[in-house]
Amino acid sequence: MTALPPPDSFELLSAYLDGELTEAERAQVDDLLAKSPAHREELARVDQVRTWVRALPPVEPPDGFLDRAIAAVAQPPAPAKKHKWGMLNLVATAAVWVLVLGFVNMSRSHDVSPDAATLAQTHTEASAGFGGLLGSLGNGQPEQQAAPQVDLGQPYWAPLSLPGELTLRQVQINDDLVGLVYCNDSDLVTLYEEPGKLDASALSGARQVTVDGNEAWMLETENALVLIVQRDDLVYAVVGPPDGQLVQTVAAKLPSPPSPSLTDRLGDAGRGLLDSFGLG
Amino acid sequence: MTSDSPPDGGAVEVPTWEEVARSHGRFIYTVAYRLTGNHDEAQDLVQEVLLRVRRGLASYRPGSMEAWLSRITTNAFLDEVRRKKRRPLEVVPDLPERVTGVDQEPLDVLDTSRLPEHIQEALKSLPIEFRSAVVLCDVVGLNYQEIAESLDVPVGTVRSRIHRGRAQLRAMLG
Repeated sequence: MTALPPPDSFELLSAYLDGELTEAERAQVDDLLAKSPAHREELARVDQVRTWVRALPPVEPPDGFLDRAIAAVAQPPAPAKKHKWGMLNLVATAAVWVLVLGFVNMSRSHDVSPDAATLAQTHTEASAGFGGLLGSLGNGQPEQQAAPQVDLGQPYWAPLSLPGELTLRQVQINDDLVGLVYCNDSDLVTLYEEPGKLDASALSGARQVTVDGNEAWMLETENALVLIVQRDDLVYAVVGPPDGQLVQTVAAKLPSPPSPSLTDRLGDAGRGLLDSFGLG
Repeated sequence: MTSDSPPDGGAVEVPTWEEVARSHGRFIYTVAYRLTGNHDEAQDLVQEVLLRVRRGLASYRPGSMEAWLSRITTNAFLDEVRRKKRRPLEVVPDLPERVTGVDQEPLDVLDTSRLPEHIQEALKSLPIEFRSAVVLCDVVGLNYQEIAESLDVPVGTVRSRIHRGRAQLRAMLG
């Protein structure tokens, strides 16, 4: 009576074809092949697949892709704006900007396509700047408890807190782009806002996903994850830790901004300005 | 130009990361596409690989540049897969799930199954561990020891994954 070959003897067949067996193992397979039709058939099947896969042609990248990728990697990271302001200074600065931003953006409705890779890089550098402060910052409460948000002027807005126990710690303003930096005990999230309509076709490297049933565009880097969403008149880019949980939570539950009239907007802006300087 | 010193003390020129990107970009793209199965993800992966090459070129020791690049590409790919597992976002697919229509006759399937796109679709359907091993072996041409080092698993595991991967491919391709 002939003993059946061990079940894993089939796994030797690929290594046999690849020349990856010891002499003893090779002799064992030769013996099996001489005696076992099942092994001969399996060898022929595996050899066929091996031939097919090895015959796959090289894949051409899309035209210009490599040049663009090299340029993107070669690009020096955008400098992070690091300000160590308290909340009072933050509100004061935001209020000073409110008149400018409010007027500049009242009638603006242009296409927006955030540079997600640059935002991710900027956020990563900002995170490094916050460093060990995260724990102490996150445990604290905003200095201005009463205000539900910082008034930046429509359509911008800056809630003092976000889902995930995130608290507003910094406002960065760069032309039309506003970056709001939030911290909790362990993580930092930056919420970028830009007025206009999202032009998804111009997003570089981001792919379409759904977050809580709404369409979004995602870009992942080694150190950050970016989710870009459109809400009302603003395009938001939520940038945070690469595991994505916190970013997804924020993007899924972005609070809705208030919609005051123009009169209210300018009035609030003026009051905010006066309050900021203790004149209100 | 960055230089590196081999153990024998002779000076060996190591290319800059941009030179690597230009001379091996097509190779990296091919490996990335075979691993990911679609052009969008392959482009993201290539960009990530170039970042890692730029950061890690100093650690490169003269030898098989393609083995080094394929190791970086595979690791970046596996990192991405692990990241996605931790984050259950629903990704809108940009390719049909299956190439072969359900109403096709078995003979038709057999006749067309050797087309590169069908083999690629079958590769994409393999479990990640099997796919990585098969791509490194049959697309890149690494030996089992090099694959074991790339995937950080024993050679015996590589042997098993390659065979099981090929067996599954054969079953899918008719």
